[in-house]
Amino acid sequence: MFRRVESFAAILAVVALCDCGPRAALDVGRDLFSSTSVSSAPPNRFTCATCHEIVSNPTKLRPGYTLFDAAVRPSYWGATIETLLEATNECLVQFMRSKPFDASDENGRALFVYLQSEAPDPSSPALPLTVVQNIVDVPSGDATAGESLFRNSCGVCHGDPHTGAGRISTEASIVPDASLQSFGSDPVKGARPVVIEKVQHGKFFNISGTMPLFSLEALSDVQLGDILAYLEGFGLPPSASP
Amino acid sequence: MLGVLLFSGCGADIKFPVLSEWPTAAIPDYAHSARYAITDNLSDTLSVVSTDPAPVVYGTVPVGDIPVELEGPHHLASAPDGSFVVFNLSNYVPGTGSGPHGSHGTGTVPGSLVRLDGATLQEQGETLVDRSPGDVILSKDGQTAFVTHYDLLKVQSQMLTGGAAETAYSSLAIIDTESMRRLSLQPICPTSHGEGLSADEKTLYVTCSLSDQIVVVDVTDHNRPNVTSRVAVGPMPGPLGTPNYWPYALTVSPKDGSVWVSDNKSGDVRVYDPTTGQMDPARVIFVGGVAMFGAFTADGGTYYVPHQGGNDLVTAIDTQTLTTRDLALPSTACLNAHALVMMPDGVQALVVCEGDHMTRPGSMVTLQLPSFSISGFVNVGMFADGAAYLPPISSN
Repeated sequence: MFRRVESFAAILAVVALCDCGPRAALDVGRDLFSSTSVSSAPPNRFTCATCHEIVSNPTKLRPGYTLFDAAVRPSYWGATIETLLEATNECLVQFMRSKPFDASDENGRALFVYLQSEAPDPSSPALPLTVVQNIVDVPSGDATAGESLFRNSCGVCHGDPHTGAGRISTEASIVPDASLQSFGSDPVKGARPVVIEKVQHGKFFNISGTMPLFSLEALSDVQLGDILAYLEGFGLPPSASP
Repeated sequence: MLGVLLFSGCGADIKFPVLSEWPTAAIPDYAHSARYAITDNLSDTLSVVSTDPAPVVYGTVPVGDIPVELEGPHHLASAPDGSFVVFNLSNYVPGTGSGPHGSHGTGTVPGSLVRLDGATLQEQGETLVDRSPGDVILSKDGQTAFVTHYDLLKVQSQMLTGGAAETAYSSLAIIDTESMRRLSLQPICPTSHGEGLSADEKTLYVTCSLSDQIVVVDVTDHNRPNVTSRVAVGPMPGPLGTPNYWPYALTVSPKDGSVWVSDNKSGDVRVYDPTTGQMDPARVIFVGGVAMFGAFTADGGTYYVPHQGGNDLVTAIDTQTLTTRDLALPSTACLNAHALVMMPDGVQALVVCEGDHMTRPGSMVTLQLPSFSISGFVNVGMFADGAAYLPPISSN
């Protein structure tokens, strides 16, 4: 008898710990925002938070805009996408290797509830997305500033330069070593233009992979030049331009 | 295990507040008016334009799968009730972004047929076709789409390697528009492009530009289209890749089922007679320019064909007498006329003009046919090349 009571108490404890019963969509959505499980693809290592903050005054350097007030923007991806669901699905499919959310998908709806909770204003303007179409050299800038910029942007996924320490996944290349090994130091097709291309085109324009791009709004040419100067300390060739 | 339980909640149920559905695209006010959707190849958009009382752009809708790349919406067709639009996503966009990895959109990847809701122009479905899709038309009931392909790379490859003639053939894709399932993808001829259905919709006629032919395709079985004949469009067809006529577009006459073929290089319109299975040597109408996509009046009495090359013109051909009249399209209104589309009232038409593909946008010019005059024009996106009518949604 005592054993049965003991077992029942244990079950109760587990149930209590689980907080059985329906979870609030807001909580599920908040958790999903920072979870790789937002994607249906197990190999995915990205979360929404990898690329987006969700604060009114963002301080981090991320490829995507802050998602604060995103739920009340009239369009997304530089006004090329009209609905938030479609914009979200672009991230899921392009970067997270996931199936897109169906409008009725419960996880998707929970994520929307969370995004809606972080949109206190009645409306918010569409945001620009300026993509550098044709890659040209970017002059190197200040290496000291570049170190901070690197750690605040590239390093989030790629870890430390040269070693990759702290990178998000072994699939994230070690910068700039991987580019140097694969492309050498040719000024036109070598590691330097490839690094610039990867930053400004991400996976797009015939490159493939899962890396998002940095628009000029996300990372200016001056900031990129600082990062390039920092990476020159790890073997990236300097600019061939005078 | 415990982590999973904690994350999902034991029952995995989620309690949603009211108003927790993803927002959907709003139906724009202009959907309650008659309008045309126009494909803008180099803007990756559909322009939505009104023609009544004067041409005006109602809106511009971005299309494509990748927001940051140009993917080339190329030709389109609308369901008879305007409930949906289909267009080719060509993935052939010269000059789009480049870097050490090269340029996307060199026509080496498959294109697709995309279905949009007619009111919101939001995507409803998509199916892969072959690379470089060319024209798209729909059956009368809108249930079936026919997509040709203008695959120049296949022709180049065959000419370089000397492989079998069939290796140069571009395909015809037949797609069920309800399920957006591709029913067949059948190689038919080199650089297939303009196309038209017979009145009974059992036969499809297709131009084969670089082989100076049209093909007659039995499409009774959508799963197994069958080329029944290949007909040279003139007495002196050029060798593959060097055509003398360059048949590019065609239209089937509503009067007698004859097929009127627009030739880019010979600058004429030639007529295929389905009763003889041959081109009619007595019906060659020289128009003097790069003949493009034309249209018949409802009774088939007049064929209007736009053409490029120096000055842009529309030639009206009396289909009985073969006499012609020309209407000059002012350079301010039109550069590189691509297609003429009849309006539902039968007395107006519009011409879609490409622009210069670089800095000057395309345009839509409206014509009054009884007076054979221009009534207006409006600029649209870059490299416009097709227009499809959408009735007001209240009348759908």
